[in-house]
Amino acid sequence: MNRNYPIFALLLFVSAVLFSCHPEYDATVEELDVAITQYDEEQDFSQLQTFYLEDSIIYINDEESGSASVDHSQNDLIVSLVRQNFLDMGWTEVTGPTDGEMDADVSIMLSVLETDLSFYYYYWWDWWYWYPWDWWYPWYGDPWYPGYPVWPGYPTYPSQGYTVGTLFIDMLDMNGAEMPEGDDSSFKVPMPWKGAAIGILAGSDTFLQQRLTNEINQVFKQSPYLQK
Amino acid sequence: MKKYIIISFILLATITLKAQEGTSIFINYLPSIPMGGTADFSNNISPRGVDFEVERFLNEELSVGFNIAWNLFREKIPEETFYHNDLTITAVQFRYTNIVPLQVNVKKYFSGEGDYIPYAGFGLGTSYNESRNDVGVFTLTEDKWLFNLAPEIGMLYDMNYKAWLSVKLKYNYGFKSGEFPSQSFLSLGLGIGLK
Repeated sequence: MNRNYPIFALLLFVSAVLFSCHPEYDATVEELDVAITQYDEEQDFSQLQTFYLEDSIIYINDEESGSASVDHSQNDLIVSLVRQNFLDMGWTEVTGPTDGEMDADVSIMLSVLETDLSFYYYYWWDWWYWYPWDWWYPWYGDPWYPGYPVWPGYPTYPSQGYTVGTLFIDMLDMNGAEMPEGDDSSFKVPMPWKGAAIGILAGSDTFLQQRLTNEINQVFKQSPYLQK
Repeated sequence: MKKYIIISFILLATITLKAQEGTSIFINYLPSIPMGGTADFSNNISPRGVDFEVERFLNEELSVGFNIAWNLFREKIPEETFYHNDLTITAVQFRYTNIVPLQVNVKKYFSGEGDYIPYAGFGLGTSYNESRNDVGVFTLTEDKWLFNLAPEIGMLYDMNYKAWLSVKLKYNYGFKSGEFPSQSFLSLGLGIGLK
């Protein structure tokens, strides 16, 4: 076999260049936005008519590994967008629950990650534990908590986890809360529905309000079963 | 990483191949059109493809050989709502399909007058297939080895006593396995061979 290595080497080089030339797409910030929802298929949403929405957002951080800086200035916008979407879908808002009573069919909790969650299957055990339940649900009696981990029933998100800046909109059926028999260190709250806008509050972006509006609206748009 | 492994393999093979009577080695640039299951996932014509072949000529009309290739298809799906397990997701999707066929092949040459030698060939083997969907920070990946066959037609041009020019049309088909769909694409190969 005779050899013609210069030509051959040139072809190899051209092939290598072709492959290394932007084989991956460059995504803009907006193109990385993800709206994700999950619901309990056995839940009859027509039975749920009223909601309670706390006007605060919980920022979930990690004291051990440190937390990233997340924009807190959008709280009012987030709360108003969530409230308006529920109202637009025909829900009735209950304000000021009475002590010890659960007046609303569901409670809506808003939270934002200031730390990455790497293992979503442990996610509920981990980050729900951070919730200051005694502050969040002051009307809820002492015998069950505060500080107990909560186990919603449907922990089946992608396993890669969720990143800093993710906004969670969680629907809790507090009337369905259960204390596992023989275990007074934890209790379980059903979550008929939950939505998330992934990583949306991370970093700085001049179009943040527009992106927030789009993603929060999308979370509801892709959940037609919530419509009354 | 895979890219470097394959390029290293090609370089190594080029350097270490011993001269043998009637043996030629080819490298082809291999732009491809996705079809079937490949097109369903990533439906763009791909300029990214390359293959490497070693052919042993048994006589003037017949050769047997080995072929390894790499094709990358990609497609950006504008924002849309889709479902994954029990999740509803709305996002822009960045989809990539990598296919690496490994085949033994046989080629029949139709020698005629002049330096142009048309041929028809058939390859049989396996292929490594990876479908990746990047959705925001999430990556949904599936991969599978598939039984693979590849008919082709082509023509060699006898440049001189040392080299061939090669042009070919090659169809690759990887059979469905479990939940992983069949993969297929049509390639136009342009290359050079060393005698």
